[in-house]
Amino acid sequence: MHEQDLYNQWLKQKQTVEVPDHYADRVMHSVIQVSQQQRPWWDRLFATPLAQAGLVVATCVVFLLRFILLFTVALG
Amino acid sequence: MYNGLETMQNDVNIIEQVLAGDTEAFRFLVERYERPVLSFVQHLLLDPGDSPDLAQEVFLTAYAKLSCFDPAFSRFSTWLFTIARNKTINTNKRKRPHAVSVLPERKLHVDVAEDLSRRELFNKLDAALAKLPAKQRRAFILAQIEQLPYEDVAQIEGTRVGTIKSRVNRAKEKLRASLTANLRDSHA
Repeated sequence: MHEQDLYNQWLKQKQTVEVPDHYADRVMHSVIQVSQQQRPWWDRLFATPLAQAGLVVATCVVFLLRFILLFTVALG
Repeated sequence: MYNGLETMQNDVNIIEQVLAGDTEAFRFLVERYERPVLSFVQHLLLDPGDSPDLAQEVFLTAYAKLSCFDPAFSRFSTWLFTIARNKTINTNKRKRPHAVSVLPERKLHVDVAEDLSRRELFNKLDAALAKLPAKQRRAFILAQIEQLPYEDVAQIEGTRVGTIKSRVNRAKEKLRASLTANLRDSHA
């Protein structure tokens, strides 16, 4: 076979690279982890469902205490 | 492939989306560039087995520093290859010099029976590529294997276009000389 053809075939072979299965998923998994770390702490703190539920409960408790305080003052 | 004006504009739009908080949009960039980045690091690393991990690091660095990317200065692909270049150089520095190895043998899409000698020739060309001086090897890989324009290769390497052309030509000459010598040996 001609030398030029062999060289071209070799070059073509070099241009063919197999990407591992689900490689983009693997990269994105790490990217999302990095993006979570880059968020400010308060943003991360309230990102979990547990923290959000805690925030709702805390808000309710504050309103309840305020209501009790007002009621107590009104009674005299 | 990834050098067109449309692709470049599209990359910039995706980057704007990512910077606006849509992390998942980064997937489009990963899917577009995973093959060229993997190919580039695989051809440059002393241990090609590390290429998936290193390419992943390249994407992570690109994501973390995305706000530093300036589309007025370069294409996204050029910027990404620059990160890949720097990471491979640093990784290779940490490896022992005698650990140079050629790429693992790849499946050739030709008839198995007829091409044993051809495969040997290809392996010898791989070895000749691995033995090239690092600058020539990088220029050859970027320009000939990744088919980037010389201007982009010059930007990645931080040098002039003429220098890159000269490096690529010298690399080609050495590879052709290796091929000629090996063909002569196989006919002898």
